[in-house]
Amino acid sequence: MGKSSKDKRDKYYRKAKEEGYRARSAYKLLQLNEEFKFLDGITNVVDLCAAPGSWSQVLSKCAPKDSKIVSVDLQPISPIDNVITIQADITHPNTVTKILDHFDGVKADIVISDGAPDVTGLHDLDEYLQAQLVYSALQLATAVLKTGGTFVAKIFRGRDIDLMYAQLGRLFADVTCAKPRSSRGSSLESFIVCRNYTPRPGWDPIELINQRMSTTAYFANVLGPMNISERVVAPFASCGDLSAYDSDASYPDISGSYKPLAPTQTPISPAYQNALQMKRDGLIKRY
Amino acid sequence: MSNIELIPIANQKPVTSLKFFGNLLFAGIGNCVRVYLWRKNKQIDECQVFEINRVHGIEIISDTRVIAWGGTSYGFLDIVDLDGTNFKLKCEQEHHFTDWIVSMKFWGHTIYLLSAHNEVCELDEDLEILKYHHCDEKSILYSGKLYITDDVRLAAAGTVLNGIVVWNLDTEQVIGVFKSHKGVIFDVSWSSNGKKIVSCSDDRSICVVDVASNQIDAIGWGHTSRVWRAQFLGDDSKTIISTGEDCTARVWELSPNERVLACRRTLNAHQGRNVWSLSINAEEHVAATGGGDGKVMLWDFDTDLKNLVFDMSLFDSRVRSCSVNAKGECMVSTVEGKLHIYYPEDSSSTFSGQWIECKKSLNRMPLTKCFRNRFFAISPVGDGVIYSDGILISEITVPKGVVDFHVICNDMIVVCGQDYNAIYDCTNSTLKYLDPEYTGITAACLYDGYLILGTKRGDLYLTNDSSSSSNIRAFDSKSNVITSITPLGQVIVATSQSGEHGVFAIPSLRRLCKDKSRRKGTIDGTNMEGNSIISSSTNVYERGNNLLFYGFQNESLVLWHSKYNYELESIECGGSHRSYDVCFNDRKMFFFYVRSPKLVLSSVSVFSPKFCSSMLSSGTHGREIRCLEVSPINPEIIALGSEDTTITIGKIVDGYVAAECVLKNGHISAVQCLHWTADGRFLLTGGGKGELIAWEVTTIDNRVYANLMGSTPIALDRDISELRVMAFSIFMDLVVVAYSDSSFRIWSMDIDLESNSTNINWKLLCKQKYMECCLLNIDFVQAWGRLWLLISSTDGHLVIYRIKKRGESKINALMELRFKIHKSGIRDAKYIFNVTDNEVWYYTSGDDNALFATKLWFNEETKHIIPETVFKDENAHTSSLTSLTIDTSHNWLITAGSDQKVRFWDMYTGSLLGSFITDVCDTGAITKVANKLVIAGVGLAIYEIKSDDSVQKSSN
Repeated sequence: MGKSSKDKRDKYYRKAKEEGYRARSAYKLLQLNEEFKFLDGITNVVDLCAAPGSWSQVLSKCAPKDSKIVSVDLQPISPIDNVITIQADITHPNTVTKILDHFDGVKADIVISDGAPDVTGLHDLDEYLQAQLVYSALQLATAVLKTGGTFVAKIFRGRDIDLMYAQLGRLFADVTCAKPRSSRGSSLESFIVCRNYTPRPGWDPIELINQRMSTTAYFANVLGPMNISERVVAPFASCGDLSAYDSDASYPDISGSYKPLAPTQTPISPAYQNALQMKRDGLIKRY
Repeated sequence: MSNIELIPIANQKPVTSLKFFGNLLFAGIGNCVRVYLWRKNKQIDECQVFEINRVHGIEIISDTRVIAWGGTSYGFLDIVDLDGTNFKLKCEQEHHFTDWIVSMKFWGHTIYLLSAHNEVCELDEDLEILKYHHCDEKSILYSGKLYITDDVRLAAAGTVLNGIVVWNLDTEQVIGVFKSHKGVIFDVSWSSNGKKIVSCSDDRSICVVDVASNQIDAIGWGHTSRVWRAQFLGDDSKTIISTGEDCTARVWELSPNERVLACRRTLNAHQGRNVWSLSINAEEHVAATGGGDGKVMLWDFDTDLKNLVFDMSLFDSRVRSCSVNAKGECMVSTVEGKLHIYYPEDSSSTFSGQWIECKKSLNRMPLTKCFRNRFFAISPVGDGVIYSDGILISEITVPKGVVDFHVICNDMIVVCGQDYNAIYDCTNSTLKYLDPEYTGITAACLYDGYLILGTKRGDLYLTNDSSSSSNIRAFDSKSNVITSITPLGQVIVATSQSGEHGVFAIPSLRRLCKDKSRRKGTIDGTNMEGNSIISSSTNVYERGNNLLFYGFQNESLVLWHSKYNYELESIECGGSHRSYDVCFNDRKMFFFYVRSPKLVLSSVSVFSPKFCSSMLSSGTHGREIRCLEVSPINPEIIALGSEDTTITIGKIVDGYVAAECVLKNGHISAVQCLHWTADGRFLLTGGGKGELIAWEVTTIDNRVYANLMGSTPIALDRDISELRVMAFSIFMDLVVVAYSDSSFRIWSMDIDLESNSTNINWKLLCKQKYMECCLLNIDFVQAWGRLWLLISSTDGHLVIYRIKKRGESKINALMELRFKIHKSGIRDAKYIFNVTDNEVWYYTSGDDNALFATKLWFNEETKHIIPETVFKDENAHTSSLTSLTIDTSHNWLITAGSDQKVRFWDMYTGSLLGSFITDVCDTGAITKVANKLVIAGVGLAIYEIKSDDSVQKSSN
């Protein structure tokens, strides 16, 4: 199926293109903010794993006019109005300094991350890798967040998610699991909204970034081991009005005269680009 | 909590690791290790090693000990020799590491562990941690292998973004960073001498690197998707095996001058998406692959394929026709009417032999055929011969104008003439004319006194002496020429040129099933001239015989197993051939064809001499199982519907689901829901593209068949290309279907039974729309003297409609109630009707982690339904509750969630009775059959439920 048919099928995909967003995931942040209003009154915000930049676009639109937005990714991000983009590794200690430099030493009100690994289909591995990404984002977040700040990240609601809820609960007073209507019900994807950052004695994000211990081990070392009984379920919130499009529903096709819109931004070169070109050139045959 | 126990008895899950050790093959399947005597196709034992983690790797410690790991878990297994022939696996305690374990290696007395943060940990034989090794390259690893000898200790780490990092454990120095791939490194393996590594990646390529010289030796392209595993086959580092997301395993050879890896063979056996695991037995030249489909396959890299090439100049004129028999003898007829027979010196070696010209020659352009060991030749003018063992057995004379003929037994031929069809009996030279209706005969067989004919139009005819006859249009597709008819017990199997095959009952010719001979997606450019053979080989998963098919695919003749859909052989022959013949004996396949200006006789052993069966485990679906239901008339029979678009009807035997038939020709996108009709005769399945399909299920000879009866005609008024059937419910002859566009339709299903075919007429009685949100569950409920519809959807509400019949052809559904239960989508819903209290109890499980029981009662005064929450648990699971089932005999409500937990609740009070962990990911469906619980998702598991009362019962 070509681009045009996804255009016809996916309401959010089409809406994103119409409204100039680089990805449909923009609506996930919009719906999360609708529920939690975490962008109200902020001055400094960090967007991690930001490429291609749809969440930064939302920040650019929805954050207060004078707020500073810093977006970080290993991949380059095309410029966005009012957004400072940094090409950097979120696990590198220097990145913290780079971000704080842009805030003139003032800490951030909120750190958000929509990052996800390339999923393999091995659920345990995918959930592990997603968790590592959240931990990396958390390390950086706790290094740049002010007390009382907010951390929002994509999670896979799999089998060990209760452990992560418990861990986050030790650093944030309020941890909620939120599912925007634009995120498909059939997917494990959800978002963790952690509010009211409360630094804990012994929790030193810079030390954590600099050493090589896993975050889970660090949690155990610094804050004591996690008992199974301490694993908790974060309260669940569904975000987005019921009148918003349902990402699981099918909507009537757009009539034949409809011309597909060009993507707002073409995707960054995928790993299989070479293979595709060789297939086109007839150098790779299926059998 | 009451005393409920779940005892795992079946395990059909993705095979995430394999390891050869001499005659043993270890397989990591779910949280278990299974061990096979691979030569004998015998499963010795299976043992659960971890609580929940999957086994991602197995390493040999000694003759009697292995270590298994997966996720953060690792632990020893002992092989206990019971009496020299019987073995058992004994599992020791599960240990946990602080990080994901990428790989382990045993050397000397030390166990080395490489973690996902690129750290190597040394453990002693009691698993005490001795030491850690680090290098400066701190990156998340997807893969990695250690190369340890007495002299050198190296790690090759496959990173997310930073290529392959090779480092020395002793110096902790990075030796090289190889960035030949673009993207994640999914596997990296060492050559046996530690000089080279082979890697595979997201970028779909395989790469061989010479570590010492820091150079890329070669890159291989050919996989059409991500590549998961790559290993060297032998010591020379010249041959590589890889497996990937494109469901293939590939054999690569290094051509040193060209710096490329050439793909020499593509091995097709797995279904769905992924071949996750690979192990190589270098001494035996055998590899094992394990898939996301749970299948374990063996591959023999030594082939006895021999191609004997004859120049056509051996013969007096151009070759007209060629045939081969089970001894490897060949007959060739020439344009001028001469016949030549090739006699190999012995049947095991066709390499030496001689051509002898038959004394008797025929008129121009004779056709040749073979039946058992006899050769038949008839010219268009009608003169013919039969040869057996080089002796002219008899001469044939039939009326002129012979276009084709088919040998149906040792001495009977169906002759197809320009203006007649007849059976010629060679024993008395008599000719019996057939009904002129039978024109264009392309296949024939004689079975149990019946003559069965297939035509170029796709028709099958059956006739016998007592004038009983039947016929059926077997295939409707464009190229529907029937290419073969093969008896199989009380049924026949017919194949068509388009690559379909059908099974038909004798003598009614009622169609029992029809299917593509190969699953969609595993074949490119379908042009199958299908034929079927029954092999004499048996394996444990199949009672009776294997049904094999052969046909041309692209450049090759391929032979494959019809039911388990794996390729046994592929012979490159340049494409499909006009003039060819194929014959089998118990071991070998002979393929004789014209490849102008040559004739080629290929012979190959169909089954490897090294092992009994290519398939050690049959597995199930290659992608998530979305729905399942046990037959209402036979609790042994279960239907499974999958994301991979297929449906399996299987039997639960000895603790696993053995596929009886896999329905591939129905849905074109994921199967979402299925139900049996109350009489168990029909299976209805719903999926993408708005399809609701009915299948007629028949059991003959203890085998189950299902025949596609057609779909509800929704396509006609469909303006939504993505419309999915989400759920449906059956009440008498009514079927209500819930769709993803928030609409539902009620159809009546009129079944029209004829002697050799059944037809279903769908009549649309009602079409309505709820709102905009996707419907997830729908049930017909008969209560309070009326029929109701209970619907739940992604908006978390229960909606009830009152059903009103308006005459024969119309039904009205009036919304009675809309009641909010969940914060988010209601993933599953089940109800019971409580007769004593005249109440409906509606149980729902949600995406919001919650479980609700809602009581519905009818207020006779107001004539309205009153809903009331009886109990709820908002943290019933730690993530989505994907499915629930009710067991009224124990008053149990059983839920499964994406947290991989299974929980038992009291269905009247909501109190938690038991909580269990399952290693089935993405649980899509659960059901209880007698005292067993079936959990399906990525693969399936069956558990025996033991509870207090079942203990009591057994003690009584």
